[in-house]
Amino acid sequence: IMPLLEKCGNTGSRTPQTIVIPRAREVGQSYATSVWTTLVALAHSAYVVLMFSPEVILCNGPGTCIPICFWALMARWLGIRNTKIVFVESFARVSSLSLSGILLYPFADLFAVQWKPLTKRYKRAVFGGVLS
Amino acid sequence: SRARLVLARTICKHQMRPGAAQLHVFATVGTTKFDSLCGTLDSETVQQAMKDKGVVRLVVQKGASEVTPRSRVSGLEVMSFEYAPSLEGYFKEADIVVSHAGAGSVLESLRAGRPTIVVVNDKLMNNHQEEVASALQADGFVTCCKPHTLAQTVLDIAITAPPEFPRRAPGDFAMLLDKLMGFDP
Repeated sequence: IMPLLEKCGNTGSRTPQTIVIPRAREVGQSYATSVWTTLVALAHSAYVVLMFSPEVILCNGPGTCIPICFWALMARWLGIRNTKIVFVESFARVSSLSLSGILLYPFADLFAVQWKPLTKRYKRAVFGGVLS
Repeated sequence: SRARLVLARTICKHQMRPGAAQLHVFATVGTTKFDSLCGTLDSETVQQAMKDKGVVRLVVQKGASEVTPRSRVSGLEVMSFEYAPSLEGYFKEADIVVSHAGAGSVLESLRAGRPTIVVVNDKLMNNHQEEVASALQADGFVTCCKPHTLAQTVLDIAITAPPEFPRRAPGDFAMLLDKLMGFDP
């Protein structure tokens, strides 16, 4: 990533960081236990969003992004920070959106899909090319 | 049907001179558990169909599946493993790829230029995997089948490279992102 950033004119004053956050729900996890794990994920995500106060959130399919985007929207509505939300739908979605996609569709500033037919069905979606 | 299978085998046998084909098949299920595919790869029916096609070696990346395919037919070498750090070599070395309907695996196979059979898991609920498989089949990139029709599909598939799949082209998306953030060209 560093060479790419330098090429784009980044002076390198901030190095990319990787932060691990817990998932709100594992595939197949019972909905009962999901309530607790979602709350844990929400708490972690609140911390991350507050700490970094991002200008842009770039996310794709998995539901891990939902708690992060939730807090970014809260921050936006409270007038704290106008964070832009960019969502890229999974390449596996040809004619319908994933659950994360459906949840974020009304709120995303840029909603990209990888199959053209989806842009006909979802007017706010744009075809960003094949990104997989 | 059984009659069609027998007919296809007979045609294959007549078309192939002894020792003409020495094909390698690579089967992958990614990180999933796909026991019905591994089970059918472990069966004499499918392995005999592969042998009739000219396959001498079958490599199976079985992921979390419980079934471990082994050789059931003499003359066909079968090797199975769970995971590997990179599957690139296995794709490149194969003459035919049998893949689960995961977008990542299928794309990797297409970008390696391999004839690809996509096996759809009909035991999965809410099977949106079928969407990608059908869309790619409609555009002529892959051939789809179910685990129980794999033998016939192996016999029928043409050993020719699929059309070239579009490379990742992030340029358009990058432009959209720039525009959103106020960086106009």
